[in-house]
Amino acid sequence: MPTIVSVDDSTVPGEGSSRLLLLVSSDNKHIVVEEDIMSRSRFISKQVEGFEATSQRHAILLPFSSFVLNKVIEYCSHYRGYYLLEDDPDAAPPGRSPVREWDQEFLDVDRNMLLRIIKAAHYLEIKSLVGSCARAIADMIRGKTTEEMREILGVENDFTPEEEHSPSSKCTG
Amino acid sequence: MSDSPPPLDDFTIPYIPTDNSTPTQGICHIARLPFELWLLVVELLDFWTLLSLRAVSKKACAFTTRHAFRTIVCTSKVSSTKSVRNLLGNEYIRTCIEKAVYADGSGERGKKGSWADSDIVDWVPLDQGAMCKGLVAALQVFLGLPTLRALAFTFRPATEEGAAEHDDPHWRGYTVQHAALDALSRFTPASTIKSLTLDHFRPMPHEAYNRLEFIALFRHLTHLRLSTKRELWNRTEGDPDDPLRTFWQQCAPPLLRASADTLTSLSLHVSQDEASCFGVSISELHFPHLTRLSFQHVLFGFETSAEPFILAHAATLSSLTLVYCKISMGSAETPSRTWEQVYGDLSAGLGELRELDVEERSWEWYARWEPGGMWQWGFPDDSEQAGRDRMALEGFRQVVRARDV
Repeated sequence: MPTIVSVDDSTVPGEGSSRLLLLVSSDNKHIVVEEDIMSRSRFISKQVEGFEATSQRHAILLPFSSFVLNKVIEYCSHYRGYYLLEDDPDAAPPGRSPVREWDQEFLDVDRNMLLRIIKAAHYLEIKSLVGSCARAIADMIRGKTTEEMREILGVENDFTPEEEHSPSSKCTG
Repeated sequence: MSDSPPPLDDFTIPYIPTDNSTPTQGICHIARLPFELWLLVVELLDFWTLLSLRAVSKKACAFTTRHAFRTIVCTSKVSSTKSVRNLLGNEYIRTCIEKAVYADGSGERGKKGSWADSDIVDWVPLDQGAMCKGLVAALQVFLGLPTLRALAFTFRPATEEGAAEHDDPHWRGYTVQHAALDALSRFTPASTIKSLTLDHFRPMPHEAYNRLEFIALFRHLTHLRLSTKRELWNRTEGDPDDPLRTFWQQCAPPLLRASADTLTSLSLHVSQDEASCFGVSISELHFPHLTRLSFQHVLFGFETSAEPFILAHAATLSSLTLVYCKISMGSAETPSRTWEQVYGDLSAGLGELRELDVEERSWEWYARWEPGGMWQWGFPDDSEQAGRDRMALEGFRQVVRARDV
């Protein structure tokens, strides 16, 4: 869980109509973002609800780098004000989210970045982004051979030669 | 970042480790995804990809096997039956299967990514005895599966070209269906079966409908889909021995009644010729937990019970699908009921409805059954009725859409 710390007023610029949030990444970068933009994140929304009870300003510490956080903010900014069904709290799990062209371009990143984004989205409870990332990962391995998958996933074959040659019995759960 | 490839068993590592690094190309850590995220990914993969992923490593095998073998399909090819039996020799896989499908055809699994009706690509001529024996063997195995939730049959569809075959009691379509019904009424079905699908089913009398074992199959159902495809080109109007009438009025109601206490989803897709028989059979049925209903080719109007049946489920119904339904005009020039009235009443009466899907062909909205045994499409005399019907449908859709938001 991230730590919530009180911060000095001076670290939170502006007092405009849209409230500002201070997000602190794991590499200690302070990123100020409008609350509206991050309202797609159930995690952030719950944190903000917690703030309402106190008069103090708060920063939210997040366990991923500013590089990843900025990508997530870019996603949330793009869909600011849009209703996405998957982000509805009552919606089904995000695996079957619709294909959105912008998301496909947005997630045209290297595998490690994709991993970081999906983990961050999962942590921040942004179901639409989790769904799009899951689709991107599925696209990455769909139709590949086992060897190709091992390379993509960075996994070594740990089956014994006997198991290797007996596909139906190799897995016993 | 570690220099060695991360093993897949890392997918259960504690939540999100602090990660200060800037992502770079190189060793991939996707295998370290949390388990719940992997489940989302495998949900999107087709059967053949899952099989390849299953062979990647032991951990990959563990979390893909359950998904890969959730559905098992057996076709009428003898080799298919053998493959299914061999596969089910694996005790673990036996516990993964939630849905079993028998399809009268020789589907090529995986060519289109996953199993579906459309994967049953051709209808090869086979030795009927061997085919039925294979079907019975497959069913015996299916019904013994401990986690089986759904059972589905896709029988051979009727074709206009093969119409003459339907009068032959030994036609393959009948033979396979008889074998399936015999087997289903002989083996005690698992009470775990919650969903039953009978596609391209020929509605005709069979002694199985009276057997307790067969009726028991319906007792625990939450989902029932009955799609009938019997096209009677040479049907004789008013024939008291008409097998369609016998099926819908005598055979089907006790089966539907058996699942009355549990059913939440009902799809009755009948062929055009059955429409008039079908309407009568549902008039006294009620399913107190029904949330989803789908009708195809069902007749509406005062002469049938379709509309009262739907409205009787207003308290629970959240999804309604109507496909190519029509209003019978009887012998009158003016129909006893219009779609404007039907949609208006459904719109006002179905207060819990959240999903509405109407597929319609406007020239089929009204029809008359001709003595020669054909439906004659027609419009009411009032030339403006079609416009008012369409507006009423749009109004109904808007009411439901507004409710969904």
